[in-house]
Amino acid sequence: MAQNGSKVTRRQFLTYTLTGVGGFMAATLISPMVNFAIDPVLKKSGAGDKVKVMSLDDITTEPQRVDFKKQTQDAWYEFEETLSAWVYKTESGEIIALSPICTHLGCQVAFAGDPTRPQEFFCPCHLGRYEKDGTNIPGTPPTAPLARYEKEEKDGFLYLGSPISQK
Amino acid sequence: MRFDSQGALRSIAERQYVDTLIVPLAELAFGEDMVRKAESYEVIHAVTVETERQLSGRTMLSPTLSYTDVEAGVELVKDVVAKAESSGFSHVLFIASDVRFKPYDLPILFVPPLALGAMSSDQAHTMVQNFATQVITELSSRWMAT
Repeated sequence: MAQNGSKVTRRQFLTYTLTGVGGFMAATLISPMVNFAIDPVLKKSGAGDKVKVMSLDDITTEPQRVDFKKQTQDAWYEFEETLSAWVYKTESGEIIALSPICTHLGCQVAFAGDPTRPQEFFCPCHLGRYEKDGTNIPGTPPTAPLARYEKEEKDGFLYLGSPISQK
Repeated sequence: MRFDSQGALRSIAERQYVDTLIVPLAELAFGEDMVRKAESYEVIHAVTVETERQLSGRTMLSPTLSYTDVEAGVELVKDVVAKAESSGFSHVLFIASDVRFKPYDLPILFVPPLALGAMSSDQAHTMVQNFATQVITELSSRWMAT
């Protein structure tokens, strides 16, 4: 029976308390299991670290290719991946880092790869072409622009992260 | 693409685009000369992997063919060329460092058997890049010719 000044019976109080404590105990048991089950997913999202690739002073308006290595995690399996980027500065000073992976079937494009078109990226595999800013040229096999790397300028160096699709 | 299940599926689906097979060709030895053969294989492996990385949209990298005897190697190469060509690969290119294959008229590109392990990693990287560029140039000119 409820006492004066209180709307909670002894029975209700016990029910609430036990539900609370029981819920807490269940959470203690289940959360590590859930964490364990989705661990690869969590790891992947955390792997966005940027890698130092070159000095800012070396970047010109002419795209240059830089190779760098990055620790990559594919589910449980960790390995070192070699990546390339074409880096240049626009007239206004903005740094662009393009991924050389052709959006058609994944070959690597090269700036001025076709000597007759010195201001374009060229894919030797199926003759795909892109503008200097990575836009695919219609009428050639690629259907999307080249991806751009996440970038950061720090202490005079350029750091690159993951390529981001520009589709 | 590589010779794994994903690569194989894509290669079949995109056969009109994936028309080139790159085959590493390495000698197997177990005696005193094992170290030198292993060095050759390291170069061949590094160069073919790098080539595939740069041209993955049109090439398939085969598992390494290995031989202990040149005559048997020649037969193996001929057999692979015939089977690959009849399955729709228009270009088959072997990468080897054994010049004893030179007298036979086979589609082999030779890389020098350098000891990559003795170089600094930057030097080795540059070396492999240079050889891969040679292979890519060779393939590009073959592609242009057809």
